[in-house]
Amino acid sequence: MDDRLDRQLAELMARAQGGDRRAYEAVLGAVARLVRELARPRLPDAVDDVVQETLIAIHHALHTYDPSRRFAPWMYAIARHRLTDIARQRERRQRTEARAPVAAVPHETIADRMSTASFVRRALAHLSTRQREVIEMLKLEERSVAEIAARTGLSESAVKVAAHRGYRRLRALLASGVDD
Amino acid sequence: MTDDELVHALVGDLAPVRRLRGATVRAAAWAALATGYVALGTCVLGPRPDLARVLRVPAYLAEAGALIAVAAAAAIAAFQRAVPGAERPLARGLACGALIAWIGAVALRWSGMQWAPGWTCVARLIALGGAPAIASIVMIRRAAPLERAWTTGLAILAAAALAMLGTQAVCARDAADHVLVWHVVPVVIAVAIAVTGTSRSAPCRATTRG
Repeated sequence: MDDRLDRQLAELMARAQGGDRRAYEAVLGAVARLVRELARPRLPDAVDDVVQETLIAIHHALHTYDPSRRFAPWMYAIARHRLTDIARQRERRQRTEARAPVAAVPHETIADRMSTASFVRRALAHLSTRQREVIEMLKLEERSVAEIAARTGLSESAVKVAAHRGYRRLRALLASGVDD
Repeated sequence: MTDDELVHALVGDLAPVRRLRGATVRAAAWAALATGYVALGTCVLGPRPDLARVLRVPAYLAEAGALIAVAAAAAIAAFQRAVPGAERPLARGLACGALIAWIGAVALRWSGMQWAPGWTCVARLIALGGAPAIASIVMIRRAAPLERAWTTGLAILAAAALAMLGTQAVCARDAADHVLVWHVVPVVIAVAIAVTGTSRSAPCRATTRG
């Protein structure tokens, strides 16, 4: 990031910390582009996850930015941490799945599978803890997003993101017979 | 959810924030509170009878100085690590160096192991270090630590160093085996529990929205 852009984003951040939504939108837009460039060569199939998790982390860490300092080290520290975290999660998941592969159900259609509670439970078990908790609270316990946010300590936006990602992964798992 | 939708949701959630003060300022505020607490606690527990004498012994003062250096450097390192991109390796290095120097100085006095229980010193460490440790963890969680486990470990180390300093002023047993087993080992266990416990706990949330 060049000095001019850094100064520009630092000024916008200072305004965002004061509640300026337009400035905040500009910062987040720029961060999304920068993080996308950072993540693409390292985790090409998880760029969206890295970008969105970074945006949420930046939202929670907004008060920690000091506008008298450069913006890039603060932003990239968060982005790199999210990137490493997501890479580790994926490695862990792949290792777990390699150790205990769930056999596909060859003679059933997707509709049959979806109607089977145990099948859905197995698919749920492949989600991250956060995604599973959020989906269970939303769909099984029929709690509102605000309630879940209060119970988990996540923001409402983070709850929605976790649910969205969980649904996406569930769809993929159910379509592939869970052995994703 | 697309990036644009997420940005829109986050912008909608924006509220003015109270900016966090610098790491050194926060560390100094914590150190002032913690030092006052440990000094008061030391008075309440009762200073060792020969405190006036040992305060004139250079080796005792050097060890106390090393503990103060550990507390200060670990506190600064912990508060720096709590802010993304703000960490400077110097503070962490100084904390480790001072800790190694202090343990080395104590170990040099080693004259054999004489098993004698020192549970009172463990209780003193908990009494003197518990509140400062909790205060530092609360202050750190108000920031946004990325590596929560090690940040918490450094915060506990800072509080423990002050607690060990207070305990040294209360406990008249200066033998190296007693200090290493009953003053150092409980701190190592506390830091280990904090590091492993924090790495498994839920992520902390910022609480300074104004």
